[in-house]
Amino acid sequence: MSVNGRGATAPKLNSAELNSLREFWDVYETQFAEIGAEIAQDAAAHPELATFVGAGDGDEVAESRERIAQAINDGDWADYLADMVAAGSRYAESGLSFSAWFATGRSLRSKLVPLLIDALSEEPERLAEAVRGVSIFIDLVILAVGDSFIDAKERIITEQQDVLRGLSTPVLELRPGLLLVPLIGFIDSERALLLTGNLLEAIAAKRARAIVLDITGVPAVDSAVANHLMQTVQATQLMGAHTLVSGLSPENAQTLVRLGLDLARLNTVGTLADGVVSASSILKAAEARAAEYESSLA
Amino acid sequence: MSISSCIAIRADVDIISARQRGRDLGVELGFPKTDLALIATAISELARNILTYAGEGEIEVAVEEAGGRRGLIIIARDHGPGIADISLALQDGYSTSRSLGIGLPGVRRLMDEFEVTSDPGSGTVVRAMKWH
Amino acid sequence: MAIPILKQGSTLIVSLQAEPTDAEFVALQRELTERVTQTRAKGVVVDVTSLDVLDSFATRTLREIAQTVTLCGARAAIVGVQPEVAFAMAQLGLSLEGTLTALDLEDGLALLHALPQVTPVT
Repeated sequence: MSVNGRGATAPKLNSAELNSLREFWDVYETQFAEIGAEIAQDAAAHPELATFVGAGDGDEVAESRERIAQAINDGDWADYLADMVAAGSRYAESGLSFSAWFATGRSLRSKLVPLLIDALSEEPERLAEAVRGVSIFIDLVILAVGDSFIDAKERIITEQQDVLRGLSTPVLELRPGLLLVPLIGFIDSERALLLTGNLLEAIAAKRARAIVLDITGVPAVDSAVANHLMQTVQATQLMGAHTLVSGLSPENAQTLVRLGLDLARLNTVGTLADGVVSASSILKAAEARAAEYESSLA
Repeated sequence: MSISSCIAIRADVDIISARQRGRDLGVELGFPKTDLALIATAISELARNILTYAGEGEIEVAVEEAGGRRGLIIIARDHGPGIADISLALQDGYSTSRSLGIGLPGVRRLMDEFEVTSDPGSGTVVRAMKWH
Repeated sequence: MAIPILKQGSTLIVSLQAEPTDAEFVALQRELTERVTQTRAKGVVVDVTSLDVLDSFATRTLREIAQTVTLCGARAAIVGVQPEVAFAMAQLGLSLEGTLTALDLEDGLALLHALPQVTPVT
């Protein structure tokens, strides 16, 4: 038995597995609505699942039964697995834990087994087959839901990371032509790249001439971080902008000097306030140049 | 969609066509502008390496799919003298030719995956991958 | 095809279009140096706005143009490097250090205009 990685294509079942599934389904089908109602009751008592239980009207139940029958009897799993895949991503999106979904599986099994014993107590061989069928069925469902649950979780995590990254490298426009980038937290190469990319885009979009890169909130500035920052500063210079780095603590400065780094290229200034003052005068000079040039043309 | 195309590198004009071909494929694959510039720059440097070290060779650009992801692969092949010590050639600042400032480590930084195979005497193959 | 060089006042302006070949870059370097000497131009602006790649060779040539022009008594500014091009250059470790840069042609012209006029020592 195997389910394809995405969970949406038909499982490969051998004839013994298929036989087991049919034995189990013949019994389950007759009590489908009743068992569904009992599972819903169990779920209502579960702390996580409670909010999830819909009443499940008659039409829905009938439809669901039809889809399982179609899968087990005709080998057409597409509709049923699609339901499970949709359920998996719904659970993931609503923050339901996977163990809660397992609880539903357990609850289904505990209802089904007594039912099978009742129906097939006279025929132990068929009973054994049917009980195997329950496991096969639940495994298939859990696998389909699980795959899609994990896919959805991964998607959500990636989205959240993107948002966080965006937040962690904000580029603020203090006034037309002057950008401020307050960096907080650790700078690794990935974040440094993102910062450089964002900053270069902002320079083009805002026609920025002066930038203050404030690293007051960066706890450890080692040679790797300093190199990242130097690369960022250099990249902005390619576009004709001036970048100043403010907020380098005396301790960090000493470390960098001991490491033998040439800090001249970082264009460091003292505090954030110093940075803004210096950047403003750079901006003012650029504006004055532009005005003077314009009047020279007239 | 064009799956792969190959450009012979024999003269400086070929660098531009190889770059253009890579860019076109990148556009088809929907790469963002920044990645297009990285891809074009990597092709440029690899084509330059071919001209400088081997005299001639070829650049292939192709679509690669793995694990549900798509990417663009650049394959630079030549039958030049080859690289005797690949790990040395991949060190920052290493270059045997004065005309080249950056060499292979620079190209490696531009791409997501990077692999060099070379046998002295039989040429060099560089495979560089950018994932979408 | 040769890259056209325009003259505006005492400034030479080169607007690079569609991906010059290496040979065209080298020719431009020679041509610009000659024109600076001939016309006694005080400034050179090389506008790279339309270029979507500046690789190691192009960058080195631009730096050399700036150095040569400076030796001839003028100043050069490279203008219009696009954000994604700057990003790729930075990744590659390429810089235009020692060269004047500006956001666009207008800014570059203003920058050169504001520089103190250089008088070459003879």
